[in-house]
Amino acid sequence: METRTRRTAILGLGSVLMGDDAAGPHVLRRLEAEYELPPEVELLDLGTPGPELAYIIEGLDALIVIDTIKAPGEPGELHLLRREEILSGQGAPDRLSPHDPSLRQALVAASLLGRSPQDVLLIGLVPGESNLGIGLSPGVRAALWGATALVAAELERLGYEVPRRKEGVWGEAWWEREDVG
Amino acid sequence: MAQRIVVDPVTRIEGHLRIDVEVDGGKVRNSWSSGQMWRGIEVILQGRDPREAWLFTQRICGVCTTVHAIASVRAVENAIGLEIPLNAQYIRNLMLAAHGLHDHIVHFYHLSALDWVDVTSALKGDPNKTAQLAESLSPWQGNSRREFQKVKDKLADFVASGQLGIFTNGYWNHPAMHLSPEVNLLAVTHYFQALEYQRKANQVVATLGSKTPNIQNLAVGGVANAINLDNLTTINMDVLYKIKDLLAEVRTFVEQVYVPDVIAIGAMYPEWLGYGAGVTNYMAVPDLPLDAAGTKFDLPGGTIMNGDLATVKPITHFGDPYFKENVSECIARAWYDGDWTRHPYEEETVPKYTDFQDDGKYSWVKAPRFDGHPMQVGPLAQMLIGYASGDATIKTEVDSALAQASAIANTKLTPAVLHSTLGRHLARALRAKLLASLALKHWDLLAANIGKGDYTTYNKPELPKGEQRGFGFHEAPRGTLSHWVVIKDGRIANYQAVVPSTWNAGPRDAKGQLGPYEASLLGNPVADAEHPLEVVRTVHSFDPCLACAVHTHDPHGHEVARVKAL
Repeated sequence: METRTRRTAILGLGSVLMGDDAAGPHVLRRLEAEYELPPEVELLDLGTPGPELAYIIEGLDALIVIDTIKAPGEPGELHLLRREEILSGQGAPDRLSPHDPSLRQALVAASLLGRSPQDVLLIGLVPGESNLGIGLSPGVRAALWGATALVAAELERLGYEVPRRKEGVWGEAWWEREDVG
Repeated sequence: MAQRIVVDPVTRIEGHLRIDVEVDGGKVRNSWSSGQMWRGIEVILQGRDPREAWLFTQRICGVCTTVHAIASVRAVENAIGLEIPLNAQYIRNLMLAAHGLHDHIVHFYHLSALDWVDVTSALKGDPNKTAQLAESLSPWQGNSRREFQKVKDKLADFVASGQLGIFTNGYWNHPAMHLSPEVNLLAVTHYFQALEYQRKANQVVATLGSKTPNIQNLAVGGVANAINLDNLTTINMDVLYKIKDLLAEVRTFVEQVYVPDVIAIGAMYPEWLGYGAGVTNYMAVPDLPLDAAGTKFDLPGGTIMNGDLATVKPITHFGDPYFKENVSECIARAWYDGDWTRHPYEEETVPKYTDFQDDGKYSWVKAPRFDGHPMQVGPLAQMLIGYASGDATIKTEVDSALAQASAIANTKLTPAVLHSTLGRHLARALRAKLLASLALKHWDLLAANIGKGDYTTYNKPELPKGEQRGFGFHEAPRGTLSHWVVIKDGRIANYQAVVPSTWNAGPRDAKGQLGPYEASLLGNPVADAEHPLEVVRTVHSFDPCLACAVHTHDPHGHEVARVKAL
């Protein structure tokens, strides 16, 4: 296997307080529980970042993003998009408010700095309900497994070894427990 | 099979600000500020352990995470009467100051400078002349002719490739834009340089807080950072010096770039020192505590009424009854059930949506009041309160900035011009300068205290039986933030967050008094109703925490334009 010195990050986007918007953070937890990840791969539960998303991704070689996505389909349906598709996304609004992270904007801004990641995969889950409240709808919860496996497959494609853990360390997410303790 | 889809992550909790203005004769005659999405953190927190509330509150908002975490632990500490160790106070202060620096830099350069700076005009700027101009303003090493040429080339490439992506919300060639190409090139160059320095500020937060945006080192009772100068995994000398270097670099940028830019750009738009005052009742809370109990602070707090500096009245300590007893929120014009005005401890959050009703309810944002008055919060409030109460540093900085602006504008500017759209930008820049030097002071305090052999960072909280009430405040980048908690037998019975953007963006109250955004827009000029850049300028000057949509109407209420302004 070729030597890896590249920088890779996996971002979970979305608010854990907004129903299905928590899908991204959930996938990160699941990934950590099910796989042994290489130390040089960074996992970031970013919540709902603003323009700083650009500064988080700039300088990376590879980027995997898990987020909810406004797209046709049933709750939990997965859509995969690569860098060029994200950048050319016709009809995608350019958003640079303090609160609407636009992956496209972030990629453009990082290019402007000359430091945009080249290997980009967006794993988008179609949400059911994204209203205030904790908990996923059944369709999205069922899709977490598939989204997690897709992240692992992408890491392997990038040349990393990601063995499955023999015993999962799966537990409830802190925001779903009665008490965090 | 290829499928065409739109990449559009679902709109987030924080939601959008809608501003409606009625324009007649080229001026704004009436206005409404409306929060378009409901945020009800209170509902999620009921019944939870108060020691964990901060984990949830820092998820209220994707940008202002740190500030909600801090206000929450302070509220619970206030409720149970818990002091925190000095080290914890200093570590929190370092994070707060660095977060504030990050926010102020990003706000000016990346979220509002393009209201004043025309990117396409920068393409016509002469790098030589720009360098001469820049040298007259500041000794900044990044002001070389080569640097300006480089940015101009980069910009030209970007325009040629049709990728003006991050500048898409610019109002190019708008009649209200009138900086020279050289000033525009200078500002755009600093826009790029600011990217680097806001990141350095954020690195300080990340180094101490483990991660941003969601920090992990807080606890009711202090911080979770261990201090051991010989241990690589805790706060040690390497970590401390890394933080100091970052803070020193950020301070240089603020002093040599941010402050001179705001003074110069401000002086070139002197008319905007006359618009946008609005509500001139001001409030700030003291912050950057110097002792464990929170009775001495480096940043001043208090109130000023009716723009009269002689009315200044201080807010002096955590738990100050002057603050506690005077805060209320009114829902008469907001989408909640009822029309009450209540103290935060007594509030309930029961949504009741109607349509947007000009004369009825029209916002998800409640209307906070202080002793019944609307208050403007933010850096301007804090600088004015410091100025009015004789804070020597603030007085020197404000007077010096006004003298410099006067020289450029060729007119005598007095502190009265601060009550304005540009006054808010100037106050924010001066506050950043203050924060930069105070951050280094608190670094010294932390290092000295550790040097004495004090490594304590945490006092364990005990939750007594029965009911406790408490509040925590924090002077966040956007102004006064307070969290209010009622605890019953160790569980949260009620929780309210009264946030800066609520004070500023709130709607009318039961008496019909306008909120600060609304009041600030009255009398604003609007040259072109389809491109109401002037409205955007005034709203942006508050550092709104909500993306805003601006709707302009003619006197008969017909919609003229619907502008998405970010």
